Amino acid sequence: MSLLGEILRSSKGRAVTVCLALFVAYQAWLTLAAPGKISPKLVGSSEKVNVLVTLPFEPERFHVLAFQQYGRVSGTDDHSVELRGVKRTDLNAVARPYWVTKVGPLLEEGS
Amino acid sequence: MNLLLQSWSLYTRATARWPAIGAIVPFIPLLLLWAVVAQAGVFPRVFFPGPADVAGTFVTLVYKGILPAYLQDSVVRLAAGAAVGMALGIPLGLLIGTNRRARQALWPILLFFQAIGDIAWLPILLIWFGFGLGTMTFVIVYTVLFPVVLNTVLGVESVPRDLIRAARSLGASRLRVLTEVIIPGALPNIITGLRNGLGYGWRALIAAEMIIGTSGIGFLMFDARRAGSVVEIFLGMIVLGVLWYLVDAWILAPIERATGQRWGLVTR
Repeated sequence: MSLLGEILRSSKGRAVTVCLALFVAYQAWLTLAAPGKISPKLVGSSEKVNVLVTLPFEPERFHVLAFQQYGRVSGTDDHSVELRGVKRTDLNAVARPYWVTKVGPLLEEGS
Repeated sequence: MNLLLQSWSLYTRATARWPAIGAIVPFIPLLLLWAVVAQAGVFPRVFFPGPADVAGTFVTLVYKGILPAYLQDSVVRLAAGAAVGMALGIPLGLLIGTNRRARQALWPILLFFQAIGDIAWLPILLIWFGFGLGTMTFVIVYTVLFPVVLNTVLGVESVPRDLIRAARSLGASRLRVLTEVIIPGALPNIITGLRNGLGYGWRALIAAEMIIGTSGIGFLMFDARRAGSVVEIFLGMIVLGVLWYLVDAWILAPIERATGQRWGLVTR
């Protein structure tokens, strides 16, 4: 029996393998669930969009910094973050974290 | 007395069947003492939160995605640093262990740099690489490198000379002696070095994150001092301890034991 096989067949090895499998499955589920959080109103042909990201809690500095990877944060409201200039190809990445509930269009004042 | 003996017997049987119980039980008195001291109000609650406060903060930080993200950052940094440290340390250790001239040339340098602690490098690393991943990776690689190199050398030197001579007399090339005798023979020591190195690397990473990080568990703890959030600092410490316990006891120790049983002098 190979060393790796021996380790994987031990009880601790099995527990670690199950934990890793659960982690991978959870990551896959997050990826699959991300498009469902993006509002259908965001369809269009422009390269970039302005979005309103809704969270189930008040955004903190951590969340603002996380969204700054994808665009410019122009403000935060009660449970949402205004994010401008997001590439359409990055929308899934914006919606992927489990703490994002919805990604919708950012409605400008007066519009 | 009889009840005490019966309880002890029950406990030993339970821990033999489920070793995880044996790992958890020693923490129960510690947790109780902590809860009692916090509840008694010996220290102001804001400076000395109880276990329930820490558990509540844990739930909040997981709910907000902060703790998992920081934990992932720290673990990825450690894994990257450890991988580079191993890739450099094992060949270097083999070279020093198998070649007398290389040993004469490199051993003094190795001992010289071993004396310079990882954190002592931070000022110059900040000038060279700035506040980034490069600096943190360097610190971890530097910390992991020495235990891996020194233990690899020890492992190579502990391979019985007779085995090498026997392989050579049977016509094995230098490369085959290296791959089929020396490396398997040194593997238990290499794994021990890696286990030690990762332990030191983990501590160095937390220190580096505190000083230069913008994410990670070390950053979480150091940033919490700004808000005077002792509860987050406590939580960071507990996460560090639990995570390292899990990695060491559930991953590194079994690998070390398995290599020792297979190639070392330990028998089942």
